[in-house]
Amino acid sequence: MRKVVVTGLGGVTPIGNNVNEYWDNLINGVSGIYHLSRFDAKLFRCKVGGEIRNFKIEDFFMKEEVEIIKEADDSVKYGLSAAKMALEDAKVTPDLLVESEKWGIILGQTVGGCKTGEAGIRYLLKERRITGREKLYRSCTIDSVLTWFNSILLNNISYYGAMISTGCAAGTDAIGQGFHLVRDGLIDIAIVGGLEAPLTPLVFSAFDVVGAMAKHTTVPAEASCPFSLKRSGFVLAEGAGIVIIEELEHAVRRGANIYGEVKGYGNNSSAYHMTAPDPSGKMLGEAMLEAIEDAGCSKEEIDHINAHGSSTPLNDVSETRAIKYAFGKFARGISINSTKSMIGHPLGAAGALEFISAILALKKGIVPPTINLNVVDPECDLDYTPNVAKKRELRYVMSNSAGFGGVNCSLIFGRI
Amino acid sequence: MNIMHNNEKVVITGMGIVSPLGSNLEEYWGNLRDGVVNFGNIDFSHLGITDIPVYKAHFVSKKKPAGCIPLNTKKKMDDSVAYSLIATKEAVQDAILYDVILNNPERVGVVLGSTFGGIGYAEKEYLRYMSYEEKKIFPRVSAYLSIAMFSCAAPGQVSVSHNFKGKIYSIPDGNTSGIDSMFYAIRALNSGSVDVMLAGSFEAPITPFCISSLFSLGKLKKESSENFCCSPFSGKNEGFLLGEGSGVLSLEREDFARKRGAKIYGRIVNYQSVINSNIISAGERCLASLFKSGGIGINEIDFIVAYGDGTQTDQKEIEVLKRVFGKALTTIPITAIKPITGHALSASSSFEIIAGVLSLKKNVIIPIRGVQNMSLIEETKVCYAKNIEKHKLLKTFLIYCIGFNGKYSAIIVRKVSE
Repeated sequence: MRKVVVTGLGGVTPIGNNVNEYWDNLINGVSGIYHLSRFDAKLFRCKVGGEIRNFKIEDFFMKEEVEIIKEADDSVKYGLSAAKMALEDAKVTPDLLVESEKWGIILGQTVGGCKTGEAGIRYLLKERRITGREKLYRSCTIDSVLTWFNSILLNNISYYGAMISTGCAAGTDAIGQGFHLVRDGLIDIAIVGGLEAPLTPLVFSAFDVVGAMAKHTTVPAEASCPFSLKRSGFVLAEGAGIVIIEELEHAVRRGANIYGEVKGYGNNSSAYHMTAPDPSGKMLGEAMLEAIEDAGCSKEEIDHINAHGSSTPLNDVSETRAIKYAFGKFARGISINSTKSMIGHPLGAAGALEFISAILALKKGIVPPTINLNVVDPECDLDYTPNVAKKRELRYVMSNSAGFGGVNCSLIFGRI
Repeated sequence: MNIMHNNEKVVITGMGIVSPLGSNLEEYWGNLRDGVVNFGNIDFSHLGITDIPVYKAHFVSKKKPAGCIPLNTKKKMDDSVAYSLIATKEAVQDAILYDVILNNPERVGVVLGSTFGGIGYAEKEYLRYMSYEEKKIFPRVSAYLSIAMFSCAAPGQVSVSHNFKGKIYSIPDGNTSGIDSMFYAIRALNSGSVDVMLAGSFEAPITPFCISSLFSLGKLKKESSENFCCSPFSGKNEGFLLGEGSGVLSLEREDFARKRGAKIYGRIVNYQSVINSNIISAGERCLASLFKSGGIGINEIDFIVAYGDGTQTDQKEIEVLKRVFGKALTTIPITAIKPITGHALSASSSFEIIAGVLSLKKNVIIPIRGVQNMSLIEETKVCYAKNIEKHKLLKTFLIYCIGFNGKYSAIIVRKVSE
């Protein structure tokens, strides 16, 4: 079977607008959650978010490109910048951007261009006019993301492209889909990952009205506290995580730097409830087992799990049960962490940014911490790497996501 | 790319539809043959919007779907999602999947695609949001908004209501979603992790926001003097009128379907999808590879269900077919059904697959409506199914769709012998 390796990483995150900064802040337990600045959060119960800060598109693209990109939604700007860094990291040179190469772009996004979209809706409801909004389709629909990526990054060559929108698991699913497409020989190299910029009033109010988001937000940095007894909901965030995956021989031939190998992918549906996870955690556990089978490794070789760990009362308990369901007696030996304790929950981008964290954990032999974990929920009784990073030699790492609609996903990464 | 890499054969065993031509297969086929058009006027006057550049659209009859979905369920979701639930229900019924679902729910999966997802729901709630914002009070929007507005609402609702615990994907792939959903389904079936996949697409784009964004793309027809969505291949390039609905197909591996004695509509011979900003390059590459990797000759195609949306894409579409089929294009009938279904974006691709499959079954090619008196693009070189329906023994058809983003996806479906 063909092997699929990771050759490039790129990220725009609430704790750093490149992968090095992101990683440094992850292992130092730095929170990227602050009071919202994108819009006035006075009316809302939750008043914090994981915003991208100090981001300038000019830092990543040339003037002529910036002129074109400025019409795009924020999520696309983050995504393009992350992809540009990932392509540079993977040493993708112009000679690879030709028709004879089998390229793919598979990206996860759930909300779509809601900033441009909501501005569009506001305009037509306030002005009571339908006409006069040029470029609305391109700036806000999810299928248009591919157009931006191709024209800005791939030199308009032909490629296989797909968007996936499985809620909070979209980034994980996009990577898993791309991994299988490369492994099966349908494509040789691909830009995969997720992008999201959901910090807009309507999306925020949709989650706030049902009490899904953190309620104790006086100290923003402590609002996202997965597995803690104090947790009261997730913290909405934005960002983009991009991974370049390619067939092993393809990467070796061109002398690319290889981070390691994507080993396994599992996906299923709980069919339990649109938002609440199945309390038993069975189907999420089954997704992990499917990924383990796909990877051809054994349970005891998984040393680290980057959990979904969304900081909602229901998720963290059911996820703990899911890990126990899948790993049995090995569950207690696994170093688990939740990236969301630091960056919040960037929906479709979450899975991709968490997978990047897991890749770097394996490469550097360090498990980043779950911060804000001083008062552990007694029902969450596994090793979540509380508050401080831990040095550990890791054989295989897993990254899990669970989304609304009952989607469960799991990815496994290891050495070649 | 040949997705049939391990020689598994995937067959269609059930179909379900909600469309402007009817909300079940029988009604749909009847109206497709009779060329019945279900038109309505677009009215946004309750929002004070009067500059509607487009007056008409093809609507789903609101009476029947409402009867299928309990009201308290309906208020939790966008119309598009309700359509997908109804279409899935019919597909499950048509394929008689009850025992399979009951015994092995984790072997049944779902993949649904859409362009706009639950945007209509979001628009209504935005109006509410603005009123709270004005009063400076807590925006008490609908508690269902977070599960209604995203496109993953449809596969989520479908999996929850039918207890599908296998693969689940939501693919916001634009116009090609219906065909692309087949690809996800086939790959899931070939991986052996599921036995049945429900695959399809859904859309309810007759909303101010969707019309605003499509109008700015220059795709919508302004005048609608004729009672048709568009005049494909007429060279008039007037654009199209919107439609809405959902189409869902049940797919299984052939051995599984045969073992449980399922009725088989046809086998999916191959799939291919290519994106290029130049749609002619994308189409040419897509079809060339579709035939090559599928080991099929162009002479095996009995008819083509074209995209035909009545815009400048028509010309490019025909150019692609000319390049791939050459002289054979004078003998292979080409049909397009958008004139009577309306362009339901993502959902149209499923409408068209279902129309093609029903044509196979009934050995009838539906003509392109509303273009009888027009001269069509390169008519001497292309065999348009123009005037009357053609009766012919049909075995294999090609269907392709074109996205506004330059995506060209195609599948070939073949009748199987019993």
